[in-house]
Amino acid sequence: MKASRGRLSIGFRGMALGAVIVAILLAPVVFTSSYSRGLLVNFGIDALLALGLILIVGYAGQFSLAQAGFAAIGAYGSAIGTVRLGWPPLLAMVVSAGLAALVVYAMGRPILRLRGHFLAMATLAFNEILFLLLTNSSELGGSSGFGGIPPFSLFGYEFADLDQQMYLILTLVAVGLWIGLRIRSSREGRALRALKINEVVAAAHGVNPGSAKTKAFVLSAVFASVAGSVYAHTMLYVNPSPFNVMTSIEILVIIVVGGTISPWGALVGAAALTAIREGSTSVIPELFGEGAVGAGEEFVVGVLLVLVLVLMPGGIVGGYRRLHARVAAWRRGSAGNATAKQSAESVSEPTPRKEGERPGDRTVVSAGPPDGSPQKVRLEVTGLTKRFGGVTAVDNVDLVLHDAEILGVIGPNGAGKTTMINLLSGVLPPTSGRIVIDGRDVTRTPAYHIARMGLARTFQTPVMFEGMTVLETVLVGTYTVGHTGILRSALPTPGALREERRMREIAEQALERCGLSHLRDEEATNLSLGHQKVLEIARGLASRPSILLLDEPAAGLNRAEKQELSQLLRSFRSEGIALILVEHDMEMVMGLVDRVHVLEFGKTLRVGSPAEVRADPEVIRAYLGVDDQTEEVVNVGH
Amino acid sequence: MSVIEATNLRFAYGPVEVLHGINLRVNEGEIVSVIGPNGAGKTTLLNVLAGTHRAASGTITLFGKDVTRASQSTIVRHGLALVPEGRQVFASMTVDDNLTLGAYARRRTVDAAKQRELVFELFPRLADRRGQLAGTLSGGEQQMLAIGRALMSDPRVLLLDEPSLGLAPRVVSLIMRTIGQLRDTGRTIVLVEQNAKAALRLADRGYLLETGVVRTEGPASELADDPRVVAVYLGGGSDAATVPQAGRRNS
Amino acid sequence: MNFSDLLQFVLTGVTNGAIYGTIGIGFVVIHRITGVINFAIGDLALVGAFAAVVLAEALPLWLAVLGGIAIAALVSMASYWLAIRPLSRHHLLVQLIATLGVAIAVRSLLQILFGSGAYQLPPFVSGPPLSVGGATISRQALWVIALSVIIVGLLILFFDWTLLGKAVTACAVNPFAARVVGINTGLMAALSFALAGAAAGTVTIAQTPMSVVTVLGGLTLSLKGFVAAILGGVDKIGLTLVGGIIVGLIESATAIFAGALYATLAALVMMLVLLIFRPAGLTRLRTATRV
Repeated sequence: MKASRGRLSIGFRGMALGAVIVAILLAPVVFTSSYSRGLLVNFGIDALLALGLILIVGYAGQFSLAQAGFAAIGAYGSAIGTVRLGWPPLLAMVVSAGLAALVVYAMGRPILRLRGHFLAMATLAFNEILFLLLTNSSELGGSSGFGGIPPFSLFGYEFADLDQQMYLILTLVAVGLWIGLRIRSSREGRALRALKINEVVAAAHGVNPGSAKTKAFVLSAVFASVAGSVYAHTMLYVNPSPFNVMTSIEILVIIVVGGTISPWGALVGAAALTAIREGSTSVIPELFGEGAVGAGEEFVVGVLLVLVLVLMPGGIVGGYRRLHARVAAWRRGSAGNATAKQSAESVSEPTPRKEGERPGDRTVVSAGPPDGSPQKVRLEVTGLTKRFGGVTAVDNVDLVLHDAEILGVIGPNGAGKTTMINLLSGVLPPTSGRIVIDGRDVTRTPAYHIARMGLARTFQTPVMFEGMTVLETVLVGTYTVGHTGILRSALPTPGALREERRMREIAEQALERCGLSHLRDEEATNLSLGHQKVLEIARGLASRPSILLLDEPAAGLNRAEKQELSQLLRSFRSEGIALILVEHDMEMVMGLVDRVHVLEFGKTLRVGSPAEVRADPEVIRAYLGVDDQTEEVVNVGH
Repeated sequence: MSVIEATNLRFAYGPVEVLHGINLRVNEGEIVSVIGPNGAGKTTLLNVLAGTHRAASGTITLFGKDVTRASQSTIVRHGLALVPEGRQVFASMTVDDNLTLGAYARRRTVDAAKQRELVFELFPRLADRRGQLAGTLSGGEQQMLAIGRALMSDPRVLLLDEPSLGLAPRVVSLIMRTIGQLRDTGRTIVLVEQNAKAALRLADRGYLLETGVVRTEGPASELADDPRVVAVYLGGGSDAATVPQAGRRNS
Repeated sequence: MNFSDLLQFVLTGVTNGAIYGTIGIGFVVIHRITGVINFAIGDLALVGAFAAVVLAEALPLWLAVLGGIAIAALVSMASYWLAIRPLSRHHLLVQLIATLGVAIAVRSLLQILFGSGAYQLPPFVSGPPLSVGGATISRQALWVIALSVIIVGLLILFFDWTLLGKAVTACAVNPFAARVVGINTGLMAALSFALAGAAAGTVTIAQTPMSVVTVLGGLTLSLKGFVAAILGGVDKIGLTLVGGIIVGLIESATAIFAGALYATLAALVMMLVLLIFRPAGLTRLRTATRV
């Protein structure tokens, strides 16, 4: 039975969203006092800021302590716009958000390329600079700020009362939540999540790390700016004090406590922090005296941050999910369903390719015939060399790869095989030599660009993305097939929806061909090693590659699995894909490949047919080694 | 006298088990060679024996003491030293410093100066390069340094993980000869090697590992003639007879 | 501006810079061994200063100073055991956030205990300020500069010449090999935290007689120290002190030309500029990750 958990989870999400909307409508009934409504407003603003931060920390795996700073841009921008320039509030809000986006884009690109702690400090410095500038600028009222801000209005409708503001903010939170959830399951969202786990693997699937991170950052700054604008229109005045570094840190605490893995964490965390603040205001004066309320709350926040990280790093949402998974597994176990032990379905026939469907091929290209007639040269390598300090890992290697061909690369340990794959896929730049794909020189092209040209690769140790199902993992592979950017991911345009459907079709096809369809809703990290290795191949297949590089796909597989893998690779070949197979299992390699390229000490030892290579005494020596006596005898013989 | 005894050793990287119940025994004064193709689990086995990785289940005894859960520094202090795969020298530190650190765990019991002299006798080339940064040495010299560093703690047992990796044949001979010399001075050696011929020629006993289990074990000379060894490395079990055996002068 | 004014600004800059540089060294030591950037270093240094102030009520000054340094080292080590070590298998980002939590907790605890007032220690040596070419420099400031230079010297001696120091360095160079050789990497990390706390605490205590110490100064101290660390490539101890002095001088210059308010701003802007254009600081190390 095909588990419909995928569809079920959307239904669940829809229900939860519906519950949020109902909660918003019911809010004035539950929260009657203006104090509690004010609390709700603060919760909403915190939640908006946190939703933005989740995009950076939870999705892209980066760090930002600048949310309060961007909120300041929004708040002051709206204030200046409406008070001093007489703009309508919506215009001021949009312009401020645009300004925030611009600031991120200008500063973001160079800093995002640095390691995480630099980014952290940079955002901290940015926030502090902004705070100091605002506190010391007399035109903006210095530390007292200035007032006279009109309430927010939309096409004549004014949000003047507290409950109107409450509705406004909660609606924005709901919209923000929806955007966050949509992005999460969209093309860019998956790319970000993959990026967070492993940049190299994400780049190998066509994700441009710098540009992806920048997009996430820009969006989060916009969220923060909007939150700041709304805040200004609620307070009706602005001053610098709420926009200090401590606020940014509190937003970080919110998402850590709530859980960075999902936008829901932003809401849960914001609620938790509001509760803590209320709790501290009542409890702390009794323990430490009136004056200690602020510090006491900070202390609780600081300790809570450390405790949550150590004890429950996934936050509340993460903890809930783990519980949920454990319950589900227990239920499945008691029902006698052992999905892990299920044998893979037989590999299905290759799906007929539509003409011109490969990325990187702008013209219509038909797949070459399976064998015999001269093949199209897909990849050509000349004089490829890679040196690491004093060690030459790859030494002057020439290589040619044709369509519909499997080239086996073998050699003893340390021969440079994986380095060569890294060079061909753009993960490492060569020291010298040339790599040409489809007639285009790609020698110094970065990995994500080469991926977009139709080259896919697997990794020796399979890299699974935590939190993704098997289907989602394969969908990451379809990144190069799609075009939907982060903005269209948030809003479901017909084109975006169509593309998402098509990418799902491609992913499902890839899964079926690799015999993994029955596992599509499983957590990818729960799969056996054998299945994970095939999953990597499925992920590569989903990008509709013309070249596929496989790094030891059979390691750890049993005999039956290896036979199925061989069958699968043969079906790829008959489809016209050019394959390079790095392997140690000689039996498998010799029975599968068309040509063999033997490496030793980074140099080409022999290229030829399996039979030729296998009988070559030099090759045998390279593998089994020499012993002293043999060498001495040989030397004497000379 | 058994120096190392491993019983039913299991180890997993996360959910993937790579050692499925290994039994192994090393006696004093012998060279035991662990051979097998890539991915067999040889390096993992050595790392578990040396305490770098903790076994999931099973037991390891060192000179009769249970060291299954012991820390690496404890194991070094008991007289076992590991020469890890890929050398793993301290690249930005001098040859001298590298050696000094080798004696760190046993600094109170071992005469570091004396040990260093022994190492320089064994590897004169290292003496010439005392003040050089380890990262600037050639591959063979780094291997010598890694072995020398391990010897600094005056170990009774030496574990070597693929010392011939990426080295030219002449350097490999030198390393192998040196290992033999070490055995002759009374040390016990466990040698993991992909270069099966050289390893089996040197060793007293051997274990053939494949996908995390011991396929066969026995005296090294018997193992060297075992067609299964060739088969496991080059594939084609039924074709073993047709593969010309290089280096066998008397066939 | 005449020569003595110029000299004055140089002296002030160098004195402040020595403090920033030593705080930066605290960052560098911890980062080299554990890869972590410890946000809390400024606040941990303040713990030492406040401890010294408290101890000075009951003990002779020199004992109080030593006690303060020891407490800074101990609290720093404790923060490693409680907040960093349990997270050692996690992503570095998680450990970074943990240090942030420690920073907040420490600062707020200090505020609960000491309020927001200003505290001061008596100067280490009595006597009038010295006159140098028309400018004056207090004896305490000389203590600050001297201590920071001594700290740099001691640390370099420690790491390059003692066995223990080499073992700590080895953990930074190749943690796997360090473990193979039997070095207890956890202990070395704790030691580096202690050293960082002691170094940062020493200069912070030394400057307490000169200005005052308040609870809220920790963050700014950390930030300026980090600029110094960037200049040192977050790796070279000597260069970090030099970097700190550069920060101090730039701050001083800004104070003269644009007013004291902009001095801190200048240091922060300097950080952003460095990160955008020259993240390797004064060194030739490659710090950017290749994309």
